Amino acid sequence: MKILLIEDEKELRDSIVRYLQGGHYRCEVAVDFATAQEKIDLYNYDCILLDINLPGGSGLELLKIIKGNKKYDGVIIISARDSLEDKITGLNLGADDYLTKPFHLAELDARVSSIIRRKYFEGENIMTFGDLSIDMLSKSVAVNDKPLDLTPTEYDLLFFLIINKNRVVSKNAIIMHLLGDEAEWLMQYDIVYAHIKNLRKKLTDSGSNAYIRSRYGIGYKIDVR
Amino acid sequence: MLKRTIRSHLIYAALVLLAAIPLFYFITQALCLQDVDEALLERKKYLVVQLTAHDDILSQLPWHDLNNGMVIYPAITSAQAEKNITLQHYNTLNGEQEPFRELHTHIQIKNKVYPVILRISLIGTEDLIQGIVITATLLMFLILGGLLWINRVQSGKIWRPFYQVLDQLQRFTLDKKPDLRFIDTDINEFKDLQQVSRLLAERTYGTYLQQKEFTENAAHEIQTPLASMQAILEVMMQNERLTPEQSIHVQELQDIVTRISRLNKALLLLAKIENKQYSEITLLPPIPVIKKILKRLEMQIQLKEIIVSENYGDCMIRANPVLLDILLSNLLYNAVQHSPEKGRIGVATLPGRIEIANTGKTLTFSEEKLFRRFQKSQNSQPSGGNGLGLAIVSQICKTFQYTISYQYKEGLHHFILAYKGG
Repeated sequence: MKILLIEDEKELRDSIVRYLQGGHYRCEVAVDFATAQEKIDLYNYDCILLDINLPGGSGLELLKIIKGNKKYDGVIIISARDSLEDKITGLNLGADDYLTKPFHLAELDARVSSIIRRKYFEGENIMTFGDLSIDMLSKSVAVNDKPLDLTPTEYDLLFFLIINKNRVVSKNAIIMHLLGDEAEWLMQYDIVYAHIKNLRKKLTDSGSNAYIRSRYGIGYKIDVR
Repeated sequence: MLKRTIRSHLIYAALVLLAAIPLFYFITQALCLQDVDEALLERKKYLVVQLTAHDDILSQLPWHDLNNGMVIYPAITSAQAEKNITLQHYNTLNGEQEPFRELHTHIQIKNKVYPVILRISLIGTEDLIQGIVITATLLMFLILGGLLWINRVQSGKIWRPFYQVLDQLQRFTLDKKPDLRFIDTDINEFKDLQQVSRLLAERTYGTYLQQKEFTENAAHEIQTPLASMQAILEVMMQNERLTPEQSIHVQELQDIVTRISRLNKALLLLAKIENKQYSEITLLPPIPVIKKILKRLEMQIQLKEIIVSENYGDCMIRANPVLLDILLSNLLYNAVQHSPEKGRIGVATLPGRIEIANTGKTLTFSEEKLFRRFQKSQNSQPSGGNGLGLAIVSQICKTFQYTISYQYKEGLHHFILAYKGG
């Protein structure tokens, strides 16, 4: 899976690349408008991560070029602009998703994989992790063909952890993922603890080999025994 | 303004008119009397000539000639000074008092002095004076009325460009590019006014755009480094060799980044509200908005085992949809945040009123400080609010001219939002 990251802020760029590489994506970067335009013209990408304020031009112009080229690259706008109009403008120009800075890398990964799934696995809705099989269409999970009874929130949480497998997902990322942008006013870790506790119990009771490891109170990582 | 200038003109004209009518009367009267007096003197000269020619009358003195209004008395030795007087005589014919002008004088014929009274009726002159005064008064009122009418019609026409500028300026809002259209005028002052208004509107709009741009840029400039910091922390977390102590620091830094980011967003929101960037207003039903927010808060409510009682009456509110959501969200989040476990939250809507209440301990600071920025309660959980929630509420209320009030009653914090209409 090939991703193009167009972002001028070096530290952010490096961190995104490192994190996404942990998810086995190949990540190329462009630091300004001209380089980005060149790469878009020459190559095809599965997903393009696009910053709007770029040296040499606006990311929205690049978006027009991408869509004008009739390429099917998925595009996620990563921007500090959080007003509704900006989001609507971006999505109307053909972006697949819009993520406001600062965002969690775990969330970014979830959005990227969602776009790639839509692109490549059309019709195929089953994903496996250990002995878990996840039906993404009906949003249900089975352990060795036995259905696992999860609430919608628990499903979201499990799915989020599986997308970010091999990596530790922070409590903050989980809470933002579960409550969404709008509910960012409250930072109650209790919600995370409660859901993780229930999910763990259900996984253990079902006899699954998947389990959730916690890392010194920072976050969680899903693993197979 | 027009009325005021007309009013002072009118008052002045009325005063002059009031003064002019008696003045006119007296002047005409004086002129008439002068005329009559001259006529009397003429008659005296004529009398002297007549008497000198026909002195037989002088033997029948006193001689009354009522037809000509003349009385000649017998000769006297010492002559009195000549004088003119106006008298009222009783007219036996029509039984009315009639004004007369008399000349009391004396004539000298053949070295004898005869007192003479010459008399002229003033009825004709009185009528003349009356006629003149009435005509003049009528004319003056006619002129005044005409002037007033012409002034009203004319000034309406002349001032039209002015009122049009005023109207355009009243309609001028910052969220749209000013498109001021003025009617052509050949009055220089109005031309200047139109030009200045256009310039002012364009400059104001320009400043507003700059400020808006600055606000957005400020957001960008702060959110981007925060995004970098957050990303670095998330990469750091992946390091298996982190000690427990380092992990705690990473977590703390994550929380701080989140807090700065939220604070930044809240301050930007406040700035945007103050800049009137959400001025689009529609009539909305607040109940679906409240239900949507409660749905968003479901998890927290369940976790804290809070009992929510909803009591909805029909109501509509004039608001901007984005700000209404933020306003009600802040009040409801505030209620959930400060409610203890197994507490109660009440939401009620009435026409013109929305009430949100939650159980909780009394405030640790005075009520006036409640809506101030960065006012935090000692009772609230750490890393809870950012101290701007209610300040945002207050700012939104100010923008839409709602009133927000607070009461503590029977262990419940009540927030009452009152608005016009509904």
